[in-house]
Amino acid sequence: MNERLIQILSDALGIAPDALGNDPSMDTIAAWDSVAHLNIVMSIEQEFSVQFSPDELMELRSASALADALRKHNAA
Amino acid sequence: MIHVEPATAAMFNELWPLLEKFQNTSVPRAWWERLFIHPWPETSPLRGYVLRDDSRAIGFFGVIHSQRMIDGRLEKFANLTSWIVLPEFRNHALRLFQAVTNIPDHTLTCFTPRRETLPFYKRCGFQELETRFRILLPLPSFDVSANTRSTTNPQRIAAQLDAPLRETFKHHRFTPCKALLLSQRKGARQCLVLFTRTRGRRYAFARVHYLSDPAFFAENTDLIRLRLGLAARSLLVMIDERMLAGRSLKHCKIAEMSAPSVFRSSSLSAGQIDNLYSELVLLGL
Repeated sequence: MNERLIQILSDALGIAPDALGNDPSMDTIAAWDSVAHLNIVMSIEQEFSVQFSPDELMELRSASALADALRKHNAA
Repeated sequence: MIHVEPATAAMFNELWPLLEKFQNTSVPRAWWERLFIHPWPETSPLRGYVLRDDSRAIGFFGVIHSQRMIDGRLEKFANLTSWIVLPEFRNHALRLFQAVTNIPDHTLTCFTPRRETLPFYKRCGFQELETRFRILLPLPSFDVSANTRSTTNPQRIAAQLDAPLRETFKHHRFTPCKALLLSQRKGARQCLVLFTRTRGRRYAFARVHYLSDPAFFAENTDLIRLRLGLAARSLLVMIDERMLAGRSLKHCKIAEMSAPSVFRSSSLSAGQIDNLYSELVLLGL
């Protein structure tokens, strides 16, 4: 997994990178609520210079989905 | 298994404990029930979406459907209300937001978004509907036109309105909304004002949700101040800025809303959208 992506998740969720697990997601991390999600998405957009669509904003609910989207945007 | 399913009118009793847990105003249970049993003709059985953990209700996002004729076109509205999720399930709240914002072919409105959720609305194509109130200050009313009469009597109001306005009036007759009708003694101009008595943090005030003629309303500010103040037992009258269509009012001040209301529409502009058929009139907010 992209180290910058993991660091953003870690910072936004207040969880150490190695405690996030294999594929952290909104379903598995209680602290990943809608406000945290927006912070994560906006941080990723800034860090990787991408802009996600509203549909992507809703669907990118896991680290793997975010990583896939970054690859799709040629930003990984 | 956590999932989202449509909410229907029959679910009110099941969802009431959830609503009661989150309500931060002194709105009676019977008024909350109006979010599920609307006093106007039903245009959809959907009352929003429920978030469930297996069969247990853990969240709700309400939707109030209506249809209005606006500038000769039938417009469909979905007013979003009461996005609530139990704290331990907040990481699933986005599923409810996704469900309501996927309602197709409707103008979506949200009059009471929490400030921290505004970025979500904006990212999903919502624009600001209103950011400011005009507040009529509690001053003595000297300039009451002799050519304007007013009534709050529902029978008299219904008798004087044309068919479309009468229908709107009747749809709000059994909500916390009250009505004032201004009309010319010599002439045909009239203005229907629909308003609620709303509790603010410090004061109660009359909040206008609809006015049919902004120009006639603006010409009769003193009379309105007097009549709405008496009817709502309040010294203050508040009007959403856009409803005045740029007209100035005597003796008023402007106040910023704590969070703007928002809307998303492919056919309407902010100036074409009032506060009727919404949580504001059903809950007296």
